[in-house]
Amino acid sequence: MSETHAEHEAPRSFIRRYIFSMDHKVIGIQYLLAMLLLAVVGLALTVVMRWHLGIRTVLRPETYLSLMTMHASLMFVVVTVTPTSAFGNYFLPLQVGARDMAFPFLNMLSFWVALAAGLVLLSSLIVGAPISGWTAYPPLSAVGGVAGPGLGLGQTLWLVAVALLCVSSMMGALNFIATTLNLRTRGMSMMRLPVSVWGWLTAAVTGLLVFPVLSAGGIMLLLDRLGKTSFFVPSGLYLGGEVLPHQGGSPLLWQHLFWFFGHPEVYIVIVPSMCMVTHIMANFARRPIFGYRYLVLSLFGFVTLGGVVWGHHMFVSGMSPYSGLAFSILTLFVSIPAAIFAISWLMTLWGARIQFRPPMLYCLGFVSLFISGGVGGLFNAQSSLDIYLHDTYWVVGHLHLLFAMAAIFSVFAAIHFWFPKMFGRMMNDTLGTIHFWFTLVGAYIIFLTMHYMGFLGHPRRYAEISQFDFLKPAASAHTLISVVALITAGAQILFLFNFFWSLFAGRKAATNPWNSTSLEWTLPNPVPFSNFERDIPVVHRWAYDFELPGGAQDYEMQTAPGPSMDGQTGKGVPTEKST
Amino acid sequence: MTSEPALAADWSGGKSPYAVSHLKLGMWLFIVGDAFTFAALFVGYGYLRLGHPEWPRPFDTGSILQASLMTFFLLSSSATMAVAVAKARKGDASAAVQHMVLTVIGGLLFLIVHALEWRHLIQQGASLFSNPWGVPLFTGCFFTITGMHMAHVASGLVVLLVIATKLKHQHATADHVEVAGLYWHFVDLVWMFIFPLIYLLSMRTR
Amino acid sequence: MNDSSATSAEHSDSLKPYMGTWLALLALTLLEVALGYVSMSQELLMTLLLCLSVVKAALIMAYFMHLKHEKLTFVVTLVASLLFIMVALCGLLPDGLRMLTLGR
Ligand code: HEM
Ligand SMILES: [Cu+2]
Repeated sequence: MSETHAEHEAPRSFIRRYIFSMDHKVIGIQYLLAMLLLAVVGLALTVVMRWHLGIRTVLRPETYLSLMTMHASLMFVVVTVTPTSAFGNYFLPLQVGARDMAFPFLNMLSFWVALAAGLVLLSSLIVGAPISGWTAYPPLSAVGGVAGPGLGLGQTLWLVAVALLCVSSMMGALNFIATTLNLRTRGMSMMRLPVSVWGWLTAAVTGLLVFPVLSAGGIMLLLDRLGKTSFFVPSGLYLGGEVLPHQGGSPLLWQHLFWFFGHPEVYIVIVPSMCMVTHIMANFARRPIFGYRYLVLSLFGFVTLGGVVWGHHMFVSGMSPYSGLAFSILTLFVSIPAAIFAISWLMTLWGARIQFRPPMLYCLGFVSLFISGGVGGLFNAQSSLDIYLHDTYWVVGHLHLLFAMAAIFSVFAAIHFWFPKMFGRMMNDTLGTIHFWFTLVGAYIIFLTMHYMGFLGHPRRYAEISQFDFLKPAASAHTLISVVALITAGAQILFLFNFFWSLFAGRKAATNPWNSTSLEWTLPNPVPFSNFERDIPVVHRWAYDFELPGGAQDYEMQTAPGPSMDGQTGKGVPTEKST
Repeated sequence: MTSEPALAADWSGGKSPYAVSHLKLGMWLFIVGDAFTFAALFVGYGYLRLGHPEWPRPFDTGSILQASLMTFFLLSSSATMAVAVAKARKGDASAAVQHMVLTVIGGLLFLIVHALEWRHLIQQGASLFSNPWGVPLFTGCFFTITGMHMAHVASGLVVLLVIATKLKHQHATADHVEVAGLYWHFVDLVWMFIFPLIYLLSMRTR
Repeated sequence: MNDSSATSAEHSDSLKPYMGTWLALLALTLLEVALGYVSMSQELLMTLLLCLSVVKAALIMAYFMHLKHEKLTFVVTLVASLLFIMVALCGLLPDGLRMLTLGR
């Protein structure tokens, strides 16, 4: 195997080693820390927003909308980037048995561009953030400052940030795909990959397919703003006392392009999350994953279905009702791959002697949230129901259960699970458990209440409801949500404390503290610069040989020879002798 | 290894299942992604044009000839690039560099004629937001799509020049030439859609 | 990765395929221009032009970009993903017509 990459020596200088580093492990940690920072800012914004909505009116309506836009956009970046770019970067090369990513330089670039995207986004908070929401629907977002606060420079910066994110994600996606396909070690056939690797691969493929579409839409929107084209602006808009010069465009076109990206985007977030959870869960259930092959198949299902259901976000947009029907039916098909995953989780857990350590708790929380949120998705998917539910708090509840809470739970699980390998120390179990319960209960109270408010007909993105009689019953719900949200947000301090405290004072971790099976746990702490000190090991089995009968230990590492439960061993897979 | 490995073994790790280097795989993936940017722009164009049956069709025979000439330059530069790759593969670096220079000349000619065309249109009063022929979006789409393409041509030229220089000083390999070539052919390929969809479908006829 | 360079080296001996492709592409371009002067409906013209363009694109990919000499699995992966997204994207085209009834 030729290894042109990563044959380089470990760089000596601090800057090359830890700042402008091309080492995938350092880049993974950089991603993680940067996204932690953005998440904290995004969380702080919700504290203000919830204070305003449920406790005391403190914001002007337009300020509320700006904060809401920024919160959503920041969190959007966080959940898009963290599961794949942070954990994938660190662990994909380790799990497939490679010395680095296929393109280390591109990898470094992709981090710095992503960071720039985050900073540009934050800077729009300073110049006045847009009020157009994370979907930036035109015409508001397309005609400049006349349309409202923050829609001048703020919106332009927002778009620049999106463009940077597209570029960074494209570079990341290339790298992930090339690495997974080309750099697997001998014996690591596709059907022996840890599920987490499949998740990162799927996210990368999806990203490669749809981020370009978002960039095309972004270019057109930027041109509408800066070049006065009218791609998304219809004729005769009257704003700020004058008729705008734009003519002949269609706001619907942006919605199409945006959601063509936007729906697959939720898979870019949730698929690697699901897969990391599957991987971690098997470890703590000490059970082989149920239906590995079907999981892989359903990943293909997610990618293909993901490309043909975007219209379910547009049932009330004025889109052709016939397309609406098609999108509705296609969307319901999504529940098939989703259900396959859910069944696999439940079957893996069935009768298992579960070890309730924090990583497992977060995984169980993920499963619960995913199923609850998915049930809500079935309501949304039917255009007749959605016409009522769309643009209400119902959708806010649905998207937060999945896009926000489930995704973040998988990140918590991953942090607790891989912390020992990343930082050589264990996180504290008690703190983790307390944090888990606070967050899970909080999430359910907050977002289920939002579902209920949706049934009341409470519209999304309202800064203030005291003017509306029909929303009187929602006022107490708002207060409840705010109180619980403040407590839940406060509970995140437990996590942050646990993270940073364990970084320096956690118990020193053993090489393989969880008795896990994949390649990263064969490596010493800290993982050496080129990962595998000498030869890259040959792989003999999948990563889920738990529950082995007899023997001193109940698991086998992937590097251990001998019969396996993966149904592949001995069939055309090279062993050491064959070359 | 004596016998052709079974399909399953291609995927069993330790080698590239597609038998392509990272570099080439990476470039192909990039091309696939970039193709979608153009695809989305084209679909946007089609969408807007469907909504405007009165879409202008101002290009006269002169403009079409000009665009055909541009097509000729770009196609020929692609052909010379293909030859350059073949020469580089055979180890004939100087011939490869020569053909890359020819390619760059073709690309430059394309850009020059294209720029002249843009200037001509702008002089007639065309801009991103208006034009003398009717639906303003016509020029909006025209300048956006051809502008994106021009940017690709220009960046392709930079890549070609860098690789050619490196090849001359033996800092680049045939693989680099091939991958630069892939990008160049892709730029050419996009034009194969721009030319009929933007020019020929907006021809003044009858 | 040695096998890949070996296969493409075999085929790079003759330059004839490149000349042939180049001529074919030029001829197809001429045909396209000529079609533009034949009077027919815009829809038919567009369909014909698109078909010809797909042929041209295929020629470029097969010969200039060497896909003909890559492994079949590679070609299938690339072409399938290209087709999938492009066809899916076309799903939004019909709404262009809505602009006629809903305003624009
Ligand atoms: C069975 C699975 C699912 C189905 C059938 C489903 C269906 C839907 C539908 C139809 C909508 C549009 C509702 C509306 O705007 O009125 C929607 C919104 C949304 N969904 Fe899902 N969904 C599913 C799973 C997911 C997952 C896994 C995620 C994220 C990880 C997710 C994230 C979102 C987001 C972010 C929105 C709101 C977008 C917005 O308007 O701002 N959904 N979902
Ligand atoms: Cu969706």
